[in-house]
Amino acid sequence: MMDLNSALVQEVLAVAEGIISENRVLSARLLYTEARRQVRGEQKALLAIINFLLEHRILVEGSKLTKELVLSNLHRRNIYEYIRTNRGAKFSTIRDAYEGTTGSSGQLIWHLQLLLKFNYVKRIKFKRFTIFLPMDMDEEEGLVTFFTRDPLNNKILKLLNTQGPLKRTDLYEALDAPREKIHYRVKVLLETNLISALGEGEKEVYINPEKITSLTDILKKNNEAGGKQ
Amino acid sequence: MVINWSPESISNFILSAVMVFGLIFFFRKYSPPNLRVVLYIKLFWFGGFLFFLLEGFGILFMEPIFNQFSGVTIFWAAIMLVLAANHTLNESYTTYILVPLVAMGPLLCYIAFQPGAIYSVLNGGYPSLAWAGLYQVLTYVFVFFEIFFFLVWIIKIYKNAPFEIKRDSTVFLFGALVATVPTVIFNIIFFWISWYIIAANVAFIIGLSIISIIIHKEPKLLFVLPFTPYRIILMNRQGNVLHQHIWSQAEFKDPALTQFLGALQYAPSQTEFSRGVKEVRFKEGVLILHETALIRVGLFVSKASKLLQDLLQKFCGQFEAQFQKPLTEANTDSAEYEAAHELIIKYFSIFPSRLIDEGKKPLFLSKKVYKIPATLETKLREIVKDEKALDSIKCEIQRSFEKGLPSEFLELYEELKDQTEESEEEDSK
Repeated sequence: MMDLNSALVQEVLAVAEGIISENRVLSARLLYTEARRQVRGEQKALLAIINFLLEHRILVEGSKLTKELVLSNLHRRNIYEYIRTNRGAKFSTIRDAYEGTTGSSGQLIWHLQLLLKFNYVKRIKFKRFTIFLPMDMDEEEGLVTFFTRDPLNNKILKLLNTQGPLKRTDLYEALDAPREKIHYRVKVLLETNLISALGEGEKEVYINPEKITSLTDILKKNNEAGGKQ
Repeated sequence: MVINWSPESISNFILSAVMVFGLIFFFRKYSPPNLRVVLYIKLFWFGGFLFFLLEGFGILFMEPIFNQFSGVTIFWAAIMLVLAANHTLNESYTTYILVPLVAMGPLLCYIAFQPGAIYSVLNGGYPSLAWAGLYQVLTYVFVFFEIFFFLVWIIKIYKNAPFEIKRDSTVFLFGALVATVPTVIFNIIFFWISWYIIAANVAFIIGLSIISIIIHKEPKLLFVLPFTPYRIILMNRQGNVLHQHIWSQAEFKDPALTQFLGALQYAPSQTEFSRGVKEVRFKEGVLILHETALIRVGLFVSKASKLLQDLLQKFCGQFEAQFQKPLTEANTDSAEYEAAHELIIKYFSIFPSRLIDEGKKPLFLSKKVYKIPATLETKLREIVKDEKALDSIKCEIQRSFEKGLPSEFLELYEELKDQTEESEEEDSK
């Protein structure tokens, strides 16, 4: 009776591992040919071993992981859908959404890695954040969307978009949020060139005219999405 | 009596020896239980042996009576060859080819014993006996028919042979070509140059030796049947699977089959829906079912077959006898029935495995045996605690064919692991 632990079976398995580690597609024929070359065993014995491995599902049929198959995993498909519908979501947001389903951060990162590898999503870095975007999304648009996902950023930009240039003090008054938070947001928006500043001490801020069209679109989309929700 | 040790008589004796040794070696080594087709193959082979022996004796003693009987053996061998080949190829003994053979056979036997059927000639300077007139015509019709039919049979075997025996079937075909093509050519030349019959015999000796050796090495060559057995499932009457053997990993898309197998498995033990042998046809094949007092056995094959029904019945009988104790004790531990594998080999050894042929889809190592580098394994275990999820990741690493994937994943993990919602608030301060 053939046994998985027998020396010859282990040798054939080592050949199979070798083929896989070389990133070659393993097939029964390739395994047989390689085993004939590398293992000292009779033709019949090798065939019997390969049959044994197939029959006992030690060698299993499967498909190479392709772009289509990557999404056959339900969790991964959900994550992809989340990134598509929540454009510009940062990792922690995705993780929070994923927490309800089964799976750890490690699993989530694995799924994201495969989505990245197979070009379903791309990532951009902003400061300490990693932002995930659908592949078809422009990176700059992605970054803007990321900013507008933050409620306070969204309010600042909306305000500037509807009222034109505003003094920082007016912003502090108009927005119901701690001053330092608003100050930090404005600083970041200035750094990323989404808004520009005027005057001495950069006291007045306004939306960068180059970005105004895209920003208006994004804000409009956000509004619509918010309205639907 | 003159003893005529001519090259022709010696070559005939060598041929008969090759045939008899082939017969003994093959059937001593390999005798599937009660297969009628095996008997026909034996009788065909025996007919060939008798033919060369009688031809040899005829020339050795210059006695035409031996050569007259050799004609009868040609008729016999032709019938047996057709029966054997037709059965292995079409699983039927009846064929229209038998009609002209049976019609011509008695005529051949009659003419063989008429005066002037055999005459003396000189072959390569040695006295010999040759067929004459209508007897010659008929014997050549039979000889050429047998050669042609034998060759067609072997070509079909070669074409249908699965990978497991493909190499042997190539040698088998080569042997058959050596035995037949030069024999036919030399036999035709023999009409003008008489010693060519010796060359024909030498070619036949070489070809036949190759055939005998390869059949001895791989007897399954003679049983490349016109159907593919997929799998056999042995269950007790409660539906517990005791043993399973797979010949072919064919994918069954027919949901009816899956449902049926499920129903079979969960049918209450009192249900006697298939006591005896039954066939259930599906789109993708036929399920031959056999139920006895203790077991239910399902044999799934591509085509219905009487031969398989017979074999299944015999197999079940012996399985019950061999495993009566665990079966009556309702022992469902499949380890108890491991020896059933040998029984399957005994009864169904004529089927070469086709598992290796199905090489279209890539193969992967199951999680049981697939190993990733130890350092990677440790890191992955730290990241993914759930064993099932870890197996799934390992499986995807194997299937991705992307060498850098694990290291990219670890980098991404390092990048993302500490990213929290709070970090934004910290930044904002």
